[in-house]
Amino acid sequence: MMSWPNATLGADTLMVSHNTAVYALSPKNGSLRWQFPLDGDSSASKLYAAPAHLQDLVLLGSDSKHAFAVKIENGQELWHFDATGNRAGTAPTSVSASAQLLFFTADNTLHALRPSTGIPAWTFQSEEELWAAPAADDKRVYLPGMDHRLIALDINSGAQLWQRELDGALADTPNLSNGVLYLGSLAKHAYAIDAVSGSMKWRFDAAGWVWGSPTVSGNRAYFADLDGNVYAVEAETGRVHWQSLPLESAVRGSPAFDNDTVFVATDGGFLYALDAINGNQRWGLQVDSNNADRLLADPIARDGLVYVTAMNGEYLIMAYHQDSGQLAWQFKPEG
Amino acid sequence: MWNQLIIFPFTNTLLLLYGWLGNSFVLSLVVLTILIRMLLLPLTAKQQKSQAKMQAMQPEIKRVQEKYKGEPERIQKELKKIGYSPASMLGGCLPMLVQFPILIGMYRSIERAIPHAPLQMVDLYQAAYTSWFPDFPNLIPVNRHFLWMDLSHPDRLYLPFYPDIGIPILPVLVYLTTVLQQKMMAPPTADPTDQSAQMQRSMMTMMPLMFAFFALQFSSGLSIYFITANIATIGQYMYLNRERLEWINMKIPGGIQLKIPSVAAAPLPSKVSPKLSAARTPANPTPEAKNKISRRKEKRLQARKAKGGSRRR
Repeated sequence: MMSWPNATLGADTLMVSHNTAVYALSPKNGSLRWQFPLDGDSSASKLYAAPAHLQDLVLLGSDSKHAFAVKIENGQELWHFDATGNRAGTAPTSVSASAQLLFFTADNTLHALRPSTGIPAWTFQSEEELWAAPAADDKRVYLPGMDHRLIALDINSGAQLWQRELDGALADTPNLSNGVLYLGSLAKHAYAIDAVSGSMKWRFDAAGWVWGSPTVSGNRAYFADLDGNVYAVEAETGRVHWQSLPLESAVRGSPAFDNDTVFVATDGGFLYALDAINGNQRWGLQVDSNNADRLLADPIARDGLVYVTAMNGEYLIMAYHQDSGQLAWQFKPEG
Repeated sequence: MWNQLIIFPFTNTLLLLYGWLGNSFVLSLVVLTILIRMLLLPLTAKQQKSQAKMQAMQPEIKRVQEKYKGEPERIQKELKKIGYSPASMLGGCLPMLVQFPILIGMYRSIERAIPHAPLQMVDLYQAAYTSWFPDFPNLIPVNRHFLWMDLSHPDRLYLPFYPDIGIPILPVLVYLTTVLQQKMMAPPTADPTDQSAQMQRSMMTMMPLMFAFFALQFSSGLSIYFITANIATIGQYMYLNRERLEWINMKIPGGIQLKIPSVAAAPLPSKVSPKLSAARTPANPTPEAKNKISRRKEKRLQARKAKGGSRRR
């Protein structure tokens, strides 16, 4: 199974997961701080899940159905959780974190793990595969499923509180903002769902599948579809502010937002900066790595830089200046 | 080009059939395989008829070889007279050549049509003819499970009381059906010691092993394709040669004996030399052969009686 590399930005560490290893880099200059595993542990292969972090701990998910908790400062393993007993499926794994628990999905099962020990507090079994980790607040866990259902669970017991059937499969972690869940589906729709009741606030009809969950900033939600369209809508009502001209190829990930700019990366290997007010293109570039394409992960924007991972090409991750699109640094693993 | 010509049409047809056949991907694969076989029928029927013809000549070939032992030129001449033509077998290779791109196309299409990872889901979206599927989102996720199988992964059956080792059921079936198909349709060889005969023998050993290896390594959906294609080929061969079909014993690895259908010997063409023709009548025909001959005679007599007497009258 192959997937694209995913990145997560902690307080001062940028982590990139890619097949056999997770690399922790300095976000400023891309220098390598640590990598996990060091010894080529076979159970730690297929590390495609975007890492999740909780204070000084990082949770890594391997498609060989193991989750590893490591220290964010040096990558030292604290514990690991083995879900291989559940042999029935072969779905990708995913991880996320709340203030109290860490979440790991493997096949149809959500494991809610205690951060200190890795022992499950509870588990939840879904009817279909789970491709995305849940979002959570201090009361509830919101689990998206490939069976088109968004399910809310009690964070203490894992008991089901409500469920909402949507039009398509849900393959990305919802974005929780001000008590509203924003998410897309593999059915040309983006949704805003009330986190307490599960009622739908609005549904937006897009031209293509909206895989990545909308990114919310202020009163706007930004998202893109697999036909290469980028949208800005009113977060409260779903009313459209602007829609970009279709980009040259599909946009899979959620857009990144910083400094009134929306950043999107495309399957064809381009990174675009769009004006958040009107959707006009500020700059667009083909990433510098040789033959790089399939920029399918979510880009990340912070502190004047935008980070993008590439599936093919020489470099694993590249950082560009937000204002000019100039390359700041790029990283490729040794060997 | 490759995508547009083979992979995308196959992928979309698989999905279309999946929707029509109650969301069963196995049925969809079986039906598409049969459809492909039907499209190739003009090519494969010619190949199979030619193979059957050669196979039916086997007793004659042996007889010629025995009769003219030590006279290779005469053997060739007499074989030519009875219509033995290894060159015509070459024309029969064309369907094999056509089937390789189809095989690769099927493998890639199965991977696309049943995405088990996010990357393949992106590829599926790009391959899908969305106008064919007004309700496309409801097909997703495509159910890739059937009985114990995950059709997107190599087949292994894990028994609950012995969960550490997976049993490759489908690869074994791929091997057996390929062996069966090859044994049934194997063309005869004029001289078992010549190079082409040796090549044929090694092909017959290697091909089933190669397909079984593919089945072990690649998605079990591909194994379903192999098995269906083999069974369809056997069925087609039996139908095309139904009048001359007989059951013979075949040994498979493990010392197991199977009854398999085979094409019976054909009557000699009129061109055959009188010497050979005389030699052909066995001094001691088998009881089965005697029965067949007397049945044919009886039928002919009955037909004449029905017409109102013999032709001589």
